[in-house]
Amino acid sequence: MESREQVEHLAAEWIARRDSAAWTAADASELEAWLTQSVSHRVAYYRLNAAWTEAGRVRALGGAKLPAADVLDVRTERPEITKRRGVVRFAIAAGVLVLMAAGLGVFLYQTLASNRFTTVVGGLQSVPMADGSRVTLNTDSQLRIVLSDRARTVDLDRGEAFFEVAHDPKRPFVVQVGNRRITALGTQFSVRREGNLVRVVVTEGAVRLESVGPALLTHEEVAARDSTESSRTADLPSVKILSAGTVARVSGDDVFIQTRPVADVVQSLTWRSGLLTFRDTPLADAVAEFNRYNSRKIVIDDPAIAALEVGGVFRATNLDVFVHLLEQGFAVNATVEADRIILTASPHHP
Amino acid sequence: MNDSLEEWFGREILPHEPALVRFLSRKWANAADVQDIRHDIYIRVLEAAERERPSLPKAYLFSVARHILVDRVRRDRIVAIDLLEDLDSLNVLIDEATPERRETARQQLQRLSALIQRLPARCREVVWMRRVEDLPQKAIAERLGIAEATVEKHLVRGIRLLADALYGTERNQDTGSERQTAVIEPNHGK
Repeated sequence: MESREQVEHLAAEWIARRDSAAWTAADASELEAWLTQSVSHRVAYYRLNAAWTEAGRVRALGGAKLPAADVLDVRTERPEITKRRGVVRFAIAAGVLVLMAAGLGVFLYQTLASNRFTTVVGGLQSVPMADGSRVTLNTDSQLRIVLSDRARTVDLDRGEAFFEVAHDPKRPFVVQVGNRRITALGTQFSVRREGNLVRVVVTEGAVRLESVGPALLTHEEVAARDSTESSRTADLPSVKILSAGTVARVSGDDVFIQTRPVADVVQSLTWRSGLLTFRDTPLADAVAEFNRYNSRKIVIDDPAIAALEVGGVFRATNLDVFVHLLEQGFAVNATVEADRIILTASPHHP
Repeated sequence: MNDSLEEWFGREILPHEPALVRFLSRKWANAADVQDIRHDIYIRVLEAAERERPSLPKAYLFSVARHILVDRVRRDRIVAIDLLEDLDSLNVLIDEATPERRETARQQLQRLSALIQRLPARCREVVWMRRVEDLPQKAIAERLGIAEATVEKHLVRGIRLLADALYGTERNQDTGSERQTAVIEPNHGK
């Protein structure tokens, strides 16, 4: 059975071919036969054809003129997110200029555009980039994007982000986290930074992970290293290719790599819709996750319950539902205070 | 007959795709499944419409969506805890998500130009030349110094990305705040 992906690809091919000069009556009846073959084919074709027709209206509407840039930034803002709008507008305006230039047969690529994006605790922001890529910032994160005509660079200063990278072999897409550099090889992946720990999750394609310069160290480690003059291996660049389904954890010089089914890996990234997914997850880990998204923290005050395994899908910013279900499902007691929720083992519960 | 059904589908069903995808994303935690579910819903709607067109297409679309989600809940192991409760409040969600647009020609032009502008660089050029300048594929290939087959590859990709931007994924991403407020949490009293 054909997947939706395959069917949509075939339908798009038919539409592209249909518009070419080489299209014959025989091709037309072949397309007709393909459409008759299955409802799935018709659905994909109708949908893509409608979009293609719609895009053609740019011509009918007099699309050779430059639209005002400020109306192009149609995204609705969430109030807790700070961002430098002016720069984004500039990036979009620059992109439109590129488009117009292409229309004239002059190929100017986008000039330099840099901007910084920040989310607060519990925040979530999706940022379309002018090159067609998209970055989604998780809670309490900050990154800077620099687009030039030779490279696309993202510096992840803090937190976590998911990258959907538009293919462009002339401009490599690089995420820098401290002394680690992650280069997209046509792909979707997420990078999370927590102190000197870096976690990379690849959901599509592959990335190249390499270290540049000395490893990320804590102050204690720096002190220890200075006193012992120990190994110099940290100075050597190490390069690893991570493919889809890979989760890599980097701590200092050590890289721990785990390969899982892609579907599982994708499930660990449901934060992109504001949701946390757990499956046989120790309560301590689940609580640590929730605490990333909320300023009111959950505290486990009893080692006996820390290892309880929990599962399900929860809204990251709704502590009350999670705690309520915990109380119902497990021998757990919750004491709710103004700035924290304390979990203890419940003596009465079965 | 196929032509008019295609028109019906474009007129009565596709304009609701942003609302549909938004709805599915709220109900379904695994974002990777949403487009497949959307496709399955369309298949069932079109199958029915080929026999007899539903008199209330939008309501029918969302009731098919509901059935397909329930089927998936039964089939899959992981279930969103708020999924089943929320399905009953579906009518509220439909009314709230009316996608009707009344735009001026200028607004339409700006919106469509913006969509093309978001395509990856080379793809964007090819789509623009083909669709707006109406250049034949061969002329595009010569102008860009690439093979005609490559032009076609960019077109194929562009067609799909445009459909997603126009109907589904892009708009869904743009309405994060609405998604947060519209979700109904499980009943605490029980």
